[in-house]
This record gives sequence, structure tokens and C-alpha cells, in this order.
Amino acid sequence: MLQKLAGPKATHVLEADGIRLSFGSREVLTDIYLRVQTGQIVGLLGRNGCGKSSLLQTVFGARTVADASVRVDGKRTVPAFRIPGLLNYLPQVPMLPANLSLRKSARLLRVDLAQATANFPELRTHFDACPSELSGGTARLLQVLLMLHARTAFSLFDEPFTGIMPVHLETLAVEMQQAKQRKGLLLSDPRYEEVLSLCDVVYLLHQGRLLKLGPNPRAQLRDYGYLAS
Amino acid sequence: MTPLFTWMRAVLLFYRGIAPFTLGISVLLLGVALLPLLHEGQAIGVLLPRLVLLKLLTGPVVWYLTERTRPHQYWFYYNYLGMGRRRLWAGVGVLDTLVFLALARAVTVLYS
Repeated sequence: MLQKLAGPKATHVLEADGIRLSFGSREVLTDIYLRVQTGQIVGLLGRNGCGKSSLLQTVFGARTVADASVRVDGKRTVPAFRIPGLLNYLPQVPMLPANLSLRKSARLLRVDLAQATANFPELRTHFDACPSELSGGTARLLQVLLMLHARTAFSLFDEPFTGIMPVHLETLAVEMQQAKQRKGLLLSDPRYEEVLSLCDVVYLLHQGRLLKLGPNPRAQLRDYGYLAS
Repeated sequence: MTPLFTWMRAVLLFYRGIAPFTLGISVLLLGVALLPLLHEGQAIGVLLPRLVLLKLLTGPVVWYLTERTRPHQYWFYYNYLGMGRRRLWAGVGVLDTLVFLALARAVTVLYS
């Protein structure tokens, strides 16, 4: 399955719809259609608390939502995380076990750590450190690289750029562009400048609806009150 | 690496994280319940099923404590072999019961 999904020449389409989610009387997600395919970086923007993380977790399968439909190449895959080689997900919170070295975590995730950090030579000194011994930005960067280099057909990132310094962000953007040759990426981050410049497709989650932005996304983001000017 | 071996490694890794809770409860049960009863001369064969039942009843407490203190611990396991909460906790239940039985046996041998 892993070979089939994450093979070098495979092209796949991930779609999600029918996702309805409420917190109490507040409807967070109502009208959702999301599409990501191999070769694309898809961005997800929206105000704080609008449901971006919930949407990513629902697509991943960790959050159970009745009637949610997540499909890969037209085939229903719920919960998606159970399918080997299909997708991985980096949450906002630290993901790696605090008491396990990065080298061991990478081995368990079946990622070649040396290859994953090839463009970040300064990270090599941290291979035997535990996540709790690293700065927040360094730990975040390493987690993003592990997810990016894992052999999955899709990778979902929730605020991947948090705490990462600008010089590393530039290199990370190049890494993501390279990674999209073999997988589809879906990311959500409040750093909209980075999201707009990096992504091939951008969605705005607004009042429960997922809107696909057109060729002039800044104007639309202003219209919907996401940007002030 | 077979799926069973990988699952066992994941369970062991997960168990390491919650061992302070589970082992603490085991030691408490053995110290407060088993030792006084052994002192009264009761046979371990009679006590053990009750103790195991008591230990199993503490499972929800451990689960609650870990959910409160480490609510984000599952993400790694979701990404690592697509392993959900139920599979992890099922493994932990078996492993922790075996550890408890081994500890109870050790206490009995040391006491006799």
C-alpha cells in the first residue's frame, strides 16, 4: 500500500467534504469541499478559532465527525491515518515523545534523518537530543522536516512555521517545493505572506464555509475581513 | 519489522510515558492490600484474582490522569503506523496487568 501510494511517479487526489462540526450552538464547519493533489501545496487561512485545526484533524481522521467524507482517488478513507503510507499530520502542539531522541523518533517514523536535514547542517548536532532539550523553533523545524520527508502521499501541517527563524523559513519553503513533486501538502498558518507565496491553491475558512481564493487573494482576504489593508 | 513487533515497540514506548501512574498504583495496591493480607496468612492464590480486579478498576483513573496531564501524547502514534488510542490502551492494559502480576509474585516470594 505504501509503495503504491507514495511511489515516485504516483499522482493522487485527496478530497474532503460533508464535514459539519459544531461546538455547542456555534457551527464551526458547515460547507466544506477541500481538494489536494500530488504536486500541490494547498494553504488554509482563517481567523483564530474558525476551525482550521479541526478541519485538518478531521481530514487526518483523529477527529470523528459524522457524515465526513474523506476520499483518496475517489475511494472513501475514514479514518485516513490508519492507511499505511497515505498521510501524516503535524499538530500545533509538540508531536514527538519528550523522552525519545530525535534519531530514535525518526527511525520509528521511517525517516532518514540525515537526508531530511541535509539542507540544515546545523541540526545534525541535535540528532541524539530529546525534543525537550531543543529550542522551540529548532524542535518545530525538525518535526516539519520529519513529516515532510516521511514516505506518505500527503502531509498535513498545522502552523508549521511557528517559531522558525526567517533564514530557515526560506530553506524550508524550498524543501516544500521539492517535496510537492512526490506528495500533496496541506498547511495552515497565520503567517499569510508565507502561505500566499508558497501555495498553489489557497482556501479561506470563513464562517464555516471553505472558499477557494482566486488569482487576487489579497483583495479577497480584505473583503472577508482577514486582512485590514 | 513485522507489524506485531512494531506495535509492541509502540506500546512499550507509550507505557514508558504512563509508567509513573500505573506503577505507582501497583505499588500502592501491593503495599496497602496485599502485604497486610499476607501477614494475616491468606493464600496468594485466593488474593490474586481480587487484586487483579482491583488493579483493572484503577484503569479509568490512570486513563483520566494521563488525558489531563498529557492530552497531546497520541499524535506521534497516529503518525507512527497509524496507531489509535484503543490499540495503544489495549496493549497497555495487557502489559500493565502482566507487570502487576510479576510484582505481586515477587512480593509473595520475598515475604515467604
